[in-house]
Amino acid sequence: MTRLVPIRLPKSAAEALAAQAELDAEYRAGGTDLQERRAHEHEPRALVDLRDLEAFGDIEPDAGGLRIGAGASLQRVADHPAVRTSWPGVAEACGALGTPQVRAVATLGGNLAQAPRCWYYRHPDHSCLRKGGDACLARGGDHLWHVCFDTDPCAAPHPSTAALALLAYEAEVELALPAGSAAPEAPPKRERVPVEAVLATDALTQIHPSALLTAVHLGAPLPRERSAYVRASSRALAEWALVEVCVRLRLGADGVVDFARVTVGAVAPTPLRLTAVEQAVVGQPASPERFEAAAALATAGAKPLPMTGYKLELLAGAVLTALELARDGRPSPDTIAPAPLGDAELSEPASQGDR
Amino acid sequence: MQLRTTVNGAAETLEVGPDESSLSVVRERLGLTGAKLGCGHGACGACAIQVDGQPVASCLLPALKLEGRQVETVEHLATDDELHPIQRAFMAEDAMQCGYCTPGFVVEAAAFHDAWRARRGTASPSRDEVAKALSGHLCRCGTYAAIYRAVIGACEGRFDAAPEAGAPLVAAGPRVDGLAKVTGAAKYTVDVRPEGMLEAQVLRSPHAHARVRAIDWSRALALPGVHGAVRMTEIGHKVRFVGQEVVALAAADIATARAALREVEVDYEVLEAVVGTEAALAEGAPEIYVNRTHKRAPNENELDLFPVRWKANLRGPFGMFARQAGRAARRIEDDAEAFSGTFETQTQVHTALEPHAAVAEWIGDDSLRVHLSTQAVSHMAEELAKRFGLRRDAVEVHAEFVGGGFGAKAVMPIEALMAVELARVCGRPVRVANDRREELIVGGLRPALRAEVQLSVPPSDGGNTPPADGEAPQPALRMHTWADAGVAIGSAAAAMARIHLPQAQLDLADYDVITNGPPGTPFRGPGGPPAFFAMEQAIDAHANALGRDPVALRRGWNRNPARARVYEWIQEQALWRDRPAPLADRGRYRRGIGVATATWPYFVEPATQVTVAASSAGFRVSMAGQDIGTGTRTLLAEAVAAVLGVPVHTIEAEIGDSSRGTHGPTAGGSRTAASVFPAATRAAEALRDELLEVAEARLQLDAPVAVPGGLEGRPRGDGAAQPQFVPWSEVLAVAPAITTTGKRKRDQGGYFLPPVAGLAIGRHLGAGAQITELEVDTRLGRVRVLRAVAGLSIGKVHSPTLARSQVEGGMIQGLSFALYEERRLDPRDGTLLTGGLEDYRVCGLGDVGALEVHFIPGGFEGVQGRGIGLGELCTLPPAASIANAVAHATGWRPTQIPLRPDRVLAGLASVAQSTEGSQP
Ligand SMILES: Cc1cc2nc3c(=O)[nH]c(=O)nc-3n(C[C@H](O)[C@H](O)[C@H](O)COP(=O)(O)OP(=O)(O)OC[C@H]3O[C@@H](n4cnc5c(N)ncnc54)[C@H](O)[C@@H]3O)c2cc1C
Ligand code: SF4
Ligand code: FES
Ligand code: FES
Repeated sequence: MTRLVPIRLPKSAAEALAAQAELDAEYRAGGTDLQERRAHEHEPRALVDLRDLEAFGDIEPDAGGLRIGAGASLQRVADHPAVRTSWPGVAEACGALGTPQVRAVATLGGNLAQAPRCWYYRHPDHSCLRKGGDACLARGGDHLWHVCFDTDPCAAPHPSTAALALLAYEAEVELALPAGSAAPEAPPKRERVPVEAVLATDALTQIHPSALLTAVHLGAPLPRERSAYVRASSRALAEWALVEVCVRLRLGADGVVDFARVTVGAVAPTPLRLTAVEQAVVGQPASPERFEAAAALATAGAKPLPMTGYKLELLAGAVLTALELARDGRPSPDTIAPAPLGDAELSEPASQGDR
Repeated sequence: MQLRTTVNGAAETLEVGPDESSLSVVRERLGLTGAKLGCGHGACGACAIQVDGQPVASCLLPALKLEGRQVETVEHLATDDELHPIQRAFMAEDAMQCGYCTPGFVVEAAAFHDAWRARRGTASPSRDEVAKALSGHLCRCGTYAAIYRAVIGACEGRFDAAPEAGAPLVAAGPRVDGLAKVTGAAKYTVDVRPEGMLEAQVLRSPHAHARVRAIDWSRALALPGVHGAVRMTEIGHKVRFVGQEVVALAAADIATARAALREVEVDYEVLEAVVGTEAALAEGAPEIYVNRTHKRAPNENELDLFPVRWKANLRGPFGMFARQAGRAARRIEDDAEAFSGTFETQTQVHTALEPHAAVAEWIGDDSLRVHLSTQAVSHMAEELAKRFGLRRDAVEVHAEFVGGGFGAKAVMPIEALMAVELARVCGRPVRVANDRREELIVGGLRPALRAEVQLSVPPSDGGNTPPADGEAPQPALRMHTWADAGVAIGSAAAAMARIHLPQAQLDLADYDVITNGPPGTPFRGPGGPPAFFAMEQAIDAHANALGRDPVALRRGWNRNPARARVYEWIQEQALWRDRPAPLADRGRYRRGIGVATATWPYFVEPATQVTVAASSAGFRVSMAGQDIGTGTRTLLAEAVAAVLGVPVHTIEAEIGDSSRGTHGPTAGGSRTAASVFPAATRAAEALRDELLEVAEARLQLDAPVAVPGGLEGRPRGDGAAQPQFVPWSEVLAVAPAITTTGKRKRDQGGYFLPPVAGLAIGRHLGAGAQITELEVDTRLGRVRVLRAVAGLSIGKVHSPTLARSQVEGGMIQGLSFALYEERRLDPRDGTLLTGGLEDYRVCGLGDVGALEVHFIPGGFEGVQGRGIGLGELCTLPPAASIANAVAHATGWRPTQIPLRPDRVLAGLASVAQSTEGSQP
């Protein structure tokens, strides 16, 4: 009596949307998040597996920037020469999360759309707000790893590491949506929205229940940028971050910061961009005193839960560390080849495969 | 759906379900059981397989993703009868203990090695590169130090060639079952699948405290594929923690059994529960046990329970090991400078990588075969025979390989009872295996402990002179502890002071605080790590406060020779001797060095019997025991090989089956080496003597004597001839089949505690120390161990490489306890929250600094075999050693573990506020 749900393996976005609507199915990309959750569900939904979607994982130049198919594995994003050269913060973040085995399978789209890692949410016998229950169980319970910017009914931090890096690069995501009233076989509508538009609780399904993430667009690269990704955790590796930070900086010839982006994760219901910190460093020399003063602004507006006050100090510390690392890091080239290298020209892939 | 894929070079076409995992395809469909289910959620890597050369976590990878791909499993790494260099390296460096994680590590490391060699030739990868590449793998036994050696060595090309030309697959390396572990051939309980086997699932209490009023399983039993159910809680009885077993049910497969359990209706009378010790001790708290149910409380310790006062949810004080308690209290009171502090350690779960599992099969009505992941095949067979009214020789307990135990598999597991009962009800073999969440609930735990400690030490004698016997001024210690072992009892943590400071004045009291949490079980050195965390920090802190050398202080009152050797060893270590002044660093990163010591007894099972057999096929040693990763197989083979002077790998060692002899010891209480080695040696000596007699009679030799590899003797009657060498093989060719058995002789002077229920406590104590160098990141609150050196005085070391592996494993488990591990329950309803290996954090490869192990020679002349066990001793000092080093680095004394970043930051803030740079 092994449980068998309907499953489809569409070849195109149009087929995927149609199958999703027909079966009220959930999309499955790498499955690294979904399979763990489904294993405990009594009545799992039907599946639309994105395995056979054409060109779903392609990475290609796009109007001076880059288009990364939502089906590209995180490891491939991390290893891609163009990403590493021109959007180094994205490469670093994607290469630092989880484990090599997860990164080899997990997709960029799945990473953005993954469910929270809250231990109540993941408990097979508990039903909280996010699972159709009527209360957040973490608030009155144990929320040691939860948000310190308590701004949402759900107290779980957004889990996506890729998201905070994409936010730092003001990336856009491309969605495939049903083409309104047209016939079901009509090509889907493509829509580009800022990455933050799909990160809030249920944002994607609110756009449309069939919404399919098809790609991420990175804009034209910034020459001579310096970036850093920092995570605070107990163990050295393979642990969910307590706080994570992505910083981009550019220093003028006089050593003055003339561009800054600071985004943080694991602290709020969505990754946050810390404009107060950015403003405090821009136009100033990249000095320890300036950085310290700027990092102290990272916690402005924080609303910790009873058990998450410690995250404030960690946040300021991680922002400071990321600012320092970015300052001391190697800048990206002065000029960047207008058409970034395509896959065919991959010189030295650090991973051997891609799912 | 149809799946076409290639597995280990063979095309496969299979019908798979939409949610079926790749792990299920290789293990259950294709019978390739090398890949293991460890966690089921991508955190442990035990399930790793290569897909198009890329290692992936097969537990999460839907089988359908394998379409058109090339799958390689551990079974296929060795091709053309040639092992992969990584496999050779793991064997040679002994990068394994229980071996359950080994296939996953090997599969990943092989891919890393191949990619590295292709790009970098024989350059040496850094530890950091290795750690990152293997960060998706966890080893609960703590083999990381050896894994670094193996992977780096293989990348350097040191294991390219087979050790013996012409015999490429020959087993090599110090561990006799290494080959089975690196090739995935080793069979664990979870790999056993007898014909017609059913799968069981367990319905567990959702309530922390409730009375079961009725159970109705009629609808569940009516479902197709369901074969039977048994009640695990009697009607009218109470369940006392969330996750307690209520009903076990067997069906054709796991999904069917799970679906059926949802149809079982249990009527609970929900009772008020107490979660946490504060609630348990509150005025008017509900009583978890009443007088008449006291005897239902399980024992979390290895000692028998002594009658102790019991008042509501508080049991104690247990103070049997106190000594001049009144005088201790008075001395402390009179000493204005006495140390006083409270230390808290968390609940630590065993979480062996192989979960508790049992496969039971009735053969007729009156005999039973049980495959059991256990530390005690002999003891379990005896127990099962008793419980089910069978003859001892009608019960076979098998445990060919055991994926770790750490104490939790030394007691009769409820999983075995469920499997046996269900197998009887269903008339078919039944398997019960915990998933990781279940294992983290009921798989055993070390109780959380709060220890209040006060210490007064004798005034300075101004030097470092070991005392003449009987004259040493002694310290006075007051140690009162409160343990939370959930619904279990039997804490004896303060009692450890009597071992560590036997001549001191000791006011000792241990209390159990009973709460509605899962029960504790003995865990590697029960009571030890929390007790030494408290005692050894108290001594360190007090020495610092008085401006005295902490090692000299201990030497001053010591009278035990093993401890004396250890103290001397510490003072000789450059790492300790040349340590910087406290608080030497003032920047973001602060280094510190700490030391802690420990003393531990060893157990002996005098009834242990080892059999050695000789036939034309060679030598075989067997015992009704098991190897949980410590290396019992190797120890047996080594003992025999040493007597006969032959290579270890030529001895076949057969264990893991209760019917292989009358009695083999439980693997626990550091008793295996001390019990087994002498018995095996005696059996081998008896065999050797018989073979000499055979040679005299059948080969016509005069007074032959044994020499390495055989014997020497003169041809009969030819006194002038040169003695000639005859290899054992020639003696065996003419000898009849011979079997000898050896028992363990008593130690000189007998035992400290003579055998009670077959278990004696030895007269000697092992002693050890760990010196730790670490770095505290004062900004992000992370503590990183850079280097740790352990010194142990345990006498003769059997199987030195395996012994080193054991010690490194103990150091790593201790580090993991000090820095990361922490079971957390919901504070309201007692539900386990740390239900996976992402939330229950055990140390990974990247967390382990450079480790060094020293065995300090000398002593133990009176012990049979001249050496004792070390499995527990090595895991006692790490937490205190780390805490002492943190205090040395920062001036903040950590009194609570694990040292999470939030605690470290709060601790540092507390000393920054108080006197800057005060003495730690
Ligand atoms: C041990 C471990 C550690 C981890 N650590 C980290 C970490 O530090 N940081 C981090 O960010 N992540 C971490 N992860 C999570 C991991 O990165 C995610 O599971 C993964 O990125 C999800 O991608 P996937 O392709 O496997 O998604 P799936 O599991 O296939 O899907 C995830 C969700 O996204 C939806 N979805 C997938 N693709 C699309 C699409 N194209 N359009 C619309 N919806 C879609 C699915 O319906 C599903 O709800 C960790 C995971 C593990 C197991
Ligand atoms: S934090 Fe969010 S996911 Fe967790 S219990 Fe609350 S609502 Fe559910
Ligand atoms: S079993 Fe797959 S990662 Fe643990
Ligand atoms: S050897 Fe790694 S888990 Fe036992």
